[in-house]
This record gives sequence, structure tokens and C-alpha cells, in this order.
Amino acid sequence: MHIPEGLIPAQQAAAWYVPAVSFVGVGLVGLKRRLVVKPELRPLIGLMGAFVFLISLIPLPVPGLGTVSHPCGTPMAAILLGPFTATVLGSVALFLQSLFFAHGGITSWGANVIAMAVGGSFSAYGVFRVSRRAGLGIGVAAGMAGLIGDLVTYGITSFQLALALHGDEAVLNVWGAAFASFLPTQVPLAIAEALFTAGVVVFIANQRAELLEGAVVRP
Amino acid sequence: MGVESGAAVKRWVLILLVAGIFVAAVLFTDSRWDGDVTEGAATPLAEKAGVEESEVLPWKIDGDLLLFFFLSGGAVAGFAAGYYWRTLFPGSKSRETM
Repeated sequence: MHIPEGLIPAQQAAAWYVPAVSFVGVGLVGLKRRLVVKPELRPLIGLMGAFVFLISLIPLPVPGLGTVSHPCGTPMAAILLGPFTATVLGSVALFLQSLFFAHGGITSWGANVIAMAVGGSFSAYGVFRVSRRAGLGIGVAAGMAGLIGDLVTYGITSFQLALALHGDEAVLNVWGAAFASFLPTQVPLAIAEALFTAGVVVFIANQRAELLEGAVVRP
Repeated sequence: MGVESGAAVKRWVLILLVAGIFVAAVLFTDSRWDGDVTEGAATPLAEKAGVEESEVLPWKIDGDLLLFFFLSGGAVAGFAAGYYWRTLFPGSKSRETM
């Protein structure tokens, strides 16, 4: 989920904006530099931008539960383009979704960027790199990155909600309760995200292996 | 030939698997999926704290207008994804002519 408008107090919303804008700024500068050096990345960036927008907007039903949620897409973008570029793509998707699709909010944009764009991208990228160094196959590494990136996103969102809405209770208790209430819906979605991420990355590795160099290029 | 038919079988198995999951989801659940996961996680917390969601814009986007935006956004993003996918992976026929 994206945190809707109005749920986070103004001060906290502003505080989440600071790191969000910093990450997006660094990502934009790096992206501009990369496109000068490697303009052939343009189609992959366009593809990932469209994927992140679609994947993080589509409500997928979870059979048996009667709930819907969405994957993130940022883990896949981070593996293929690096975490800073994935952060930029995620932040653009979140901005458009909050404006036109009643999905997220403008004041909560900073918090959502930190959860989905930064958290999802960097955790997935880290898991992918560590898994590859540990000798795991590219599909398994990408799948684990998709799974962890998705769950980390919802872990951060739960923390942000707990921080904003804990009232008299301890933040950690509310965080745990909020994250636990996400899990029944989000675990199947995380598995779906893992399969999709692994499928796309393996396909690209088989068809255009040179594109995967983006995974090791710094922003 | 064998490789091609194997790939076609794989593709159809995948399509049927995904279709089966969605058909099963519709048939074996009483709920109408009328709520995002927000309903189960964020809304109870917000109600307890006495906080309500508010609109992003001064005017409200809902009903068929929201549907319009969803379909338009999905179509544009889908077109862009297809266009860039085709640029990156032209396919065997296009590659042969290049």
C-alpha cells in the first residue's frame, strides 16, 4: 500500500521529505551522468519506469483472504539499473499515482518514497549482490531480492504508520501489530514479486546479458 | 522444431496457471475485494488515533473519473512498456532482417 494523504502528521511528513528528496536528487544527477556515458540505457530505463508504475498500481487479489495489494517493482528496477535510478523511477510513479489515482498522497509522498523507492530498491539490490557473491544463481538471487525488497517496503511502511499513529502505545508494539496485519496479504504478493523479478532478470540475462551490467554500474 | 513446441507448451502452461489462479480466486472467495490492504492495516490504526484520510486535490477523483484515469494510465504505461520491450528485444524475425 501507499500511505494515503492525511494519515501522517505534517511535521513527520516534512521530515520524511528530507531524505526522500536527497535520494531522488542524487539519483537524478547520477542518471543524467549515466545517460551521457551510456545512452543505450534509455529503453531499459523507459521499460523499468513503465513497469514500476504499472506493478505498484495494480491491485492483485489474494485468494481466500478477500484483500488486494500490489507488488513494488522497485526491486527489479534496482537489480537492472542500480538502486539510485530505481529510486528515481519509483518516486515519479508515486507522484503520478498520488495525483491521478487516489493512491498515496502528496504530503505522504516523502514517506512513500522512503518505503517503496528507497527501501525496496536498496534492500533488494543488497540482497541480490550478496546472493550473487555467495554463489547463488542469477534467478534465485533475483527472486530473493524481489521477496525481501517487497517485505522491507511493507516493514518500513508499518514503521511509518506506527510512528504517526501509535497514540499512547509503544511505537515498537504498534509497528509489530501493523506489520503482522500486512503479512497475510503481502507474503503471497512478495512471492509473486519474487517469481516475476526472477523471470524478467533471467530472461534478460539469457537474451541481452550486456544489459545486466547496469546492475554493477554506480549511479 | 522441438524447442519451439516446448516453448509454446511452456507459454500455454504459464497462461493457464495464471488464469486458473484468478478464476479460483473469484470462485472460492466470498469477499468482493472491496478493500486495499490499507483497510486491514492502516485504517484501524488511523481510527484508533482519530485521524482520517483526506483528499490530495481540492476536488475529488472517484467513480468513473477514477476508472478513466486507471484505464488511461494503464494503457499509456502498457504501451510504453511494450514499445521499450520491443526496442530491447526485437524478436527473431526483426533480428534476422537487421
